[in-house]
Order: sequence, then structure tokens, then C-alpha cells
Amino acid sequence: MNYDDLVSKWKEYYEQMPGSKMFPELFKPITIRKVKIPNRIKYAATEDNFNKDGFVTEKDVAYIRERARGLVGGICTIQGVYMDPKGEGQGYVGQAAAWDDKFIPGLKKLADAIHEEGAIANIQLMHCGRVGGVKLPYCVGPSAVPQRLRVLKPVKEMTKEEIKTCIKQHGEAARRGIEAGYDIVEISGIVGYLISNFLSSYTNRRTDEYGGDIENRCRFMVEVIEEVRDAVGKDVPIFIRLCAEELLDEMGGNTPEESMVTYKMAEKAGVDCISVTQGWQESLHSVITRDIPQGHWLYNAKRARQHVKVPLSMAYRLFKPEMANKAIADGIIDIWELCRPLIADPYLPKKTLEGKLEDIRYCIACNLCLARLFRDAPITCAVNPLVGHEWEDRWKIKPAEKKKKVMVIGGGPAGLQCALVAAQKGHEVHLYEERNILGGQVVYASKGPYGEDELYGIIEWLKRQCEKAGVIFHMNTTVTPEIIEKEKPDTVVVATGVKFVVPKVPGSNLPHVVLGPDVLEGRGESGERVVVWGGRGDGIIAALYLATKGKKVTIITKDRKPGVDVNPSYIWRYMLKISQAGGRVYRFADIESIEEKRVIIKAAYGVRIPVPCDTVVVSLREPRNELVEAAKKLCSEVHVIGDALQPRRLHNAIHDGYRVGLRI
Amino acid sequence: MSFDPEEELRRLLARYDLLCGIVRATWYEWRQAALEFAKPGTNPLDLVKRAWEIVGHDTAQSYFMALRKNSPTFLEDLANLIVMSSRAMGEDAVVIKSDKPNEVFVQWNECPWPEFARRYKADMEEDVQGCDQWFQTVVDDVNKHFGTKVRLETLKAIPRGDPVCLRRLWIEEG
Ligand SMILES: Cc1cc2nc3c(=O)[nH]c(=O)nc-3n(C[C@H](O)[C@H](O)[C@H](O)COP(=O)(O)O)c2cc1C
Repeated sequence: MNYDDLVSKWKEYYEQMPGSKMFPELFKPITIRKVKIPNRIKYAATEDNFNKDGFVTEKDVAYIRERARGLVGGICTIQGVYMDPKGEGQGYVGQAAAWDDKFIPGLKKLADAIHEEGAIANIQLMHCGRVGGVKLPYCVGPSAVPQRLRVLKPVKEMTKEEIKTCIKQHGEAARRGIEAGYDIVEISGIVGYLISNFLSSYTNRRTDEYGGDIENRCRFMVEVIEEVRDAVGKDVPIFIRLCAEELLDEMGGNTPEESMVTYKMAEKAGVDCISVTQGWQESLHSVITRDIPQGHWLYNAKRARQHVKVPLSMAYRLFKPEMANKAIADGIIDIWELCRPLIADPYLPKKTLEGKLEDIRYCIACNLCLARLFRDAPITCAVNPLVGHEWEDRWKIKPAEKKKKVMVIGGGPAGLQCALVAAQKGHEVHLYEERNILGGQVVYASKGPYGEDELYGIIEWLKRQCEKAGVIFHMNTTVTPEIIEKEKPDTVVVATGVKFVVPKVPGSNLPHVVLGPDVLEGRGESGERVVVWGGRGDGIIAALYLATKGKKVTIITKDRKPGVDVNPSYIWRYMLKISQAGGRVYRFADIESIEEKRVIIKAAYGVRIPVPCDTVVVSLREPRNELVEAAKKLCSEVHVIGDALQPRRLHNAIHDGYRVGLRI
Repeated sequence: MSFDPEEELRRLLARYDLLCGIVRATWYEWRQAALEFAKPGTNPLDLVKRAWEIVGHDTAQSYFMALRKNSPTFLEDLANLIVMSSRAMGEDAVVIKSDKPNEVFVQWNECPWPEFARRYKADMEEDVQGCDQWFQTVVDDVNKHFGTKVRLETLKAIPRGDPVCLRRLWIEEG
């Protein structure tokens, strides 16, 4: 590859774009060894579970091509590959492999796609260590320290011979990466993967030369780096991702000072760039959830800067270009990494360059991608329905053959997304919303106290895009059969969401029985002791909101646990906060009757329990679909989407909207 | 609607007792089935100890979430968890503090398990050693997980005819 040509081609383009003036630091080239990188933006490695038996699939190639295209010359990292034939290093069922030359053609397809889009190709080597062995009954690590998370496999201690073999496998995989055409080789040493297992005092209890003090614990990493260097030669940059702060104090993990020693040792061993990371999967602390403010972790990059001279990169809730530009300008980092934001919008860097910041569809940190990954499913994205479908023509928005008049009833996420796609296809789209605010349930969900306001970003984005696509909004308008009859649409989309219902039990008409949305919008005052009736997502948000206001909350749910529909990376935090505020939960339970100062619930074992309360907040939902029958009589094409079809989560609403939008 | 709390609690306890009885009976019924399918000459004690070892790994894993290596009351926290598990198993146990630092005792005053062992004609020693195996596995796993040196010994056991079960937990020096 002629890097000079690449850099000058992009430079010329950048100069014509407003973003290069707004964010000059982001669009400056950087040279690392022989590789000249046109800008400072890097797509961070993303396991996607798209591959089969270690072989790269067309689905993955299309996914990566899209990210590379959006990077406008930046670094595109492919998912971490595992490197051993047994699959001990394999942490994800659809993970790509590099343990044999037979994988080179597939890896080459990814590298070629990245290069064809004018980006720099980075292959990541990732032995998943104690997070590995996904298809085996065990995994491996420096020591057999029992797992904290039940989903992970029992750990087998590696013999010295196995360590040596593993180091060699890193070298061989790196060589295959170079043969496949990659410009950079990256080693993943984060979140509980093998290198981090050796580095951490939590998981490394060895008494040989690979264990003991921090220098010895670094030995495996150092030998891996040296092996990779031997394999790739002196011109190829080697990157490494390392924890600056493990957040494992409760288990006896490394101190932040020890982590800095690992940085120094990596630099000394010859790495050319360190990606600053924090936290482990087994850590008890939030790292990438919404309760962590954007840019929060930059202090770790600042610390790292004081210890090493090699360039630093960083992801981790650093979503906004202005923040990244400043971090580079302030000398904190050199390269801006993004993972989830580019799942959500692969064109984020391109839009930044074009100065179209309002068009960026920001990640809402819902972690659906991760939840799917850990359930052995291909990743999807709540806000980007196209993820995993980039290779399928039928998922693309194409001009409609026949222009239709489309009436979308309901301005929640399903209705907005559907309206957007339909309008982008060229239809005349009218969106009706009975309130004066768009967003449906997201309006309430975004009232949650731990950064949930970020959720509303997707509604604002959808609104803006709908406006640009020519959707005509009819706010404060309740659609009736008469309006449908008068407007004579070709297509009606019922996206009317849900209604909150109070089941009929003795006392349910008492004045202290209020609806969840009323409380979240500050309309319904609640007393000190509150029963939240319903333990799905809406109930949890209401309970959290009330708990932070100092109320004693009791959640009553028929489910086997509260928040069965809430993402696993959130629900345990939410429940912890609720219980820390003195909240309680009754599972397998329902309200039998409501009195002025208590409710009687029927709980497990058929036992009735009196629960004192001043207010009952009802968070039980039913589809609102009363218009469907009338619409069917008046119009030949009627679709029901989102919660109006079946109350579910945000991603279901958006994906319903997208799919139905394509069909119109 | 009339509501009689005492009646509700009585009903709950009755159902809970029944469930606990079923759980204990099932344990010995499985033991019997496993022995019937086991290789000839299998020592029931080995089978029982292995089963409790499996239970121990599971129990330990739930303790990992509750313990903090950096807590000054680590040993006492562990003892309290053992008491909590024992109570959940229908036993009556308490933590007894020691005069010495880094030492604590757990005493079981009541235990329903020997009665079931008797009913299903299991050797009483299985009960003692099964329990020992359970707690020893828990302690071993906790040590492996946190890099600690907690030690455990059984001083008294109801199935051996003692009035209580008594176990000593301490942290080894160095
Ligand atoms: C779905 C998903 C897959 C990931 N796969 C990898 C991986 O293969 N290797 C790796 O080093 N990090 C991986 N990560 C971590 C990300 O690269 C990144 O460090 C993390 O998501 C924080 O950055 P963000 O806030 O920009 O998402 C993954 C993260 C996600 C969400």
C-alpha cells in the first residue's frame, strides 16, 4: 500500500469539508512505523458473531465494509480472532479464527474491503482466556481461579508448555494477518481476556516465572509482543489494548499503579500504540453503561500519558466528536476509538467530516449488541436496524415503484422509524401524534435517573431525519375513523403504542392509584411508601425514579424476576439501586385488593401479604389498537407495528418500523 | 376483603415446610437411585461427598458476589454467609465471635438433615462428612477466588451425637 498517496488523497478531500475545520485534530494524519494513517479515528474491535466455524462470512465482510466506508480513511479494526485449533481462546460462537492458513482468504476479504474503502486495516488477536472456551466445557488461564459469573466456564491452569504454544500461536496468527493484507496488528488484553488474566493479581497466582510480582505477571504479554514482532517485522505497527484500571479491588485485582507498570512493560517490549481501557466483565462497577458520563474515563488516558510515550487511543463512552477533538488537542489521546457508536452509525466519522453533526445517529448505550453476543446470537442494534443485514439487498431502502399516501398513526419510535423509511422511499407520509411531544414510551423511559435522558436522542434524530425526508407532522391530532375516511390514505400504519391499564380489583378506583407515566411526568404526586404494580421495564424506571426521590418502593410483578425485559447489563444495577434505597420486590405476585393505606398481594405459595403503601403506581400495559378494525374497513393496506402490536422494547419498535417501512 | 395475617403466615409456613421436606427427601431418593446405577462396590460416602462438593462449588460462586477481599470483616462475612445458607437449608445456626483476631466459629443448634438420613437409612457419617465436604469446598473456592488463606475445621457434629455442630474458621498467618 502506498500510504503517502492514501494520505494525500484523503487530505485533499478533508480540506474541502467543513468538519476538518471544526475538528482539525480528528482529521490530521499520524504515522506509526511505516504506516501513515490519514486521520485519528479508529473503529474499535467488535465481535459480532457473524462468522461460521472461524471462517469469515459475506455478512461480516459487508458489515465491516460499511464501517470502513464511514471511517473516511481511519483505522478499521476487525473483531478479535482466536488462534488455537481447540478453541480454548474462542469466546464467541461466531468469532473469526486465524489458527490455520485456511482462514487467510476470509481474513483477506475483510482487509480488501477495508482497503477498497480507503481505510487502514487492523487485525486483532484475541485469546479470550477465562472468557473463552465457548464451545468447550472449560476455558484456560494462568491459574484456576473460580469464575464469578456463572455464564463463564471453569478455568484450567495452563502448563508452561501450553503457554509457549499459545505465544507461538499469536505469532502465527499475526503472520497470517500480514499475509491477508492487514496494515496493523493489535493484541487485545482487556476485560478478562488471556493477557489481562496473566497481568492481574486476581487471576494470576502462578509461582513460576509467569506469576508473582507485576513484572513477572507481564512476562506472558511481553513474550507475546516479541513473538508478534518477530512475525510481522519492524515496519508493521503493533497495537495493544490494556486495562489502565481493572476495577477489581473487591477480588484483589491490580492497583492502578500496577496497571501503569503493564503499560511501561508493553512499551518497552515494542508496542507502538496503547488503547487505554478500564474494567473487566467480572468487575462490579459500571464502565460503559449510561450512568457513566461521556468522557468520564479520560482521566485514565491522562495517567497513562505520564507513564508512556507511545501514542494512546481510547474508546469507552467517548461518543462525541467535539469531546474527542478536545482530548486530542489537550494531548490526552492521539487516536479516537469508537465501538458501539459505529455499530449505531457507521457514518459517524464521515458525517463529522461533512459537518452534518445533526445527522449522526448516536448510540444510546442500551448494550443490546453485547446482550446478543453473550447469548450466542449475532449482534443487532436498537437504533440501527440494518446491522447484520448490510449484505442483504432486500434490507436496503430503494425508491418505491408506486408512490403512496401513507398515514402513520403514532409518533413513538415505531411510527417515526416507519415514517422515515417510507418517506425515504418516496411516499407521501403523514405522521399523526395526539400529544404535543414525540417519542411515545421513550418520553417516560428517558426520565430515568441514571443517564436515561440519552435515550431520547434517538427520537430527536428520527424527528430530524423525518423532517428532512419530507414527513408531514400532525401534532396534537387524535386520529379517528372519520379522519382516515377523509384523508383516504393508501396505507395506514397503526403505531399507537400502549395504554396503561388498571386491572379491576377492589379499590382500584381509589384516588391514590395512579399511572406510571403520570408519576414520571410529575403529574401524580406520590406518598412516601409506593407500590409499583408491574415489574417490566416501565415499572423499573418508575421504581428507580421514585427511589431516587427517597420513596420506599415495593415492586409487585407476576414474573419470575423484575425487569425480565430489561438488558442484563442494566437490570442488576437498577435493582441494586432500588434495594439500596430500601426497595423491595415480590415476584410471582399480583395485587388482590387495594385499600387506603395498604395493598393485599397474592404472592408465591398462594400466600396473601399486606404491603403498606400510600400510593399505587400502575405500570401495566396493553396494546392500543382500537383503530385497527376501522382502518381495515377504510383502507386496503394496514400495518400494525411496535407496542400497538405487542408491548415490547425500544429495539422491537424501531425494527418493526423499519421492516414495515420497507414493505410499503 | 377480610385478611387474617396469622392464617396467611401459617399457610406459608406449612407449604414451606412441605417444600423443605420434599427437597431433603429428594436428596436421599437421588442418592438411592445413583447408588443403584453406580459401579459395584461404590462407597456411598464417596458418592455423597462428591455430590456435596458440587453443591459447594455452586454455593461458593454465590458467595463471590457477596464478599469483598478488601473488607476488614472478610472472615466474619464468610461465616455469616454460611449461617445464611444453613438457615436456608432449614438449620438453626449462629456466628460466635472469638477472642482471637482472624478467628470465628459457626454453631448449628438444630439440623433437620440427620432425621432424613435416618429415614432413608443412610449412614450418619455421610451427613457429617457430606457437610464437611460442602463447607470445605466453599472455603477452598473462596480461597482460590480471592487469594485468601481461610481454614476450616469441624469440632462437633450433631450426627455424631454431639448436642451441636461447631466449626472453626480462621485465617492462616503468612
Ligand atoms: C458488541 C461488542 C463487541 C466487542 N468486541 C470486542 C473485541 O472483539 N475485542 C476487543 O478488544 N474489544 C471488543 N469490544 C469492546 C469495544 O471495542 C470497546 O472497547 C467498548 O465497547 C467501549 O467502547 P464504546 O463505548 O465506544 O463502545 C466489544 C464491544 C462490543 C459492544
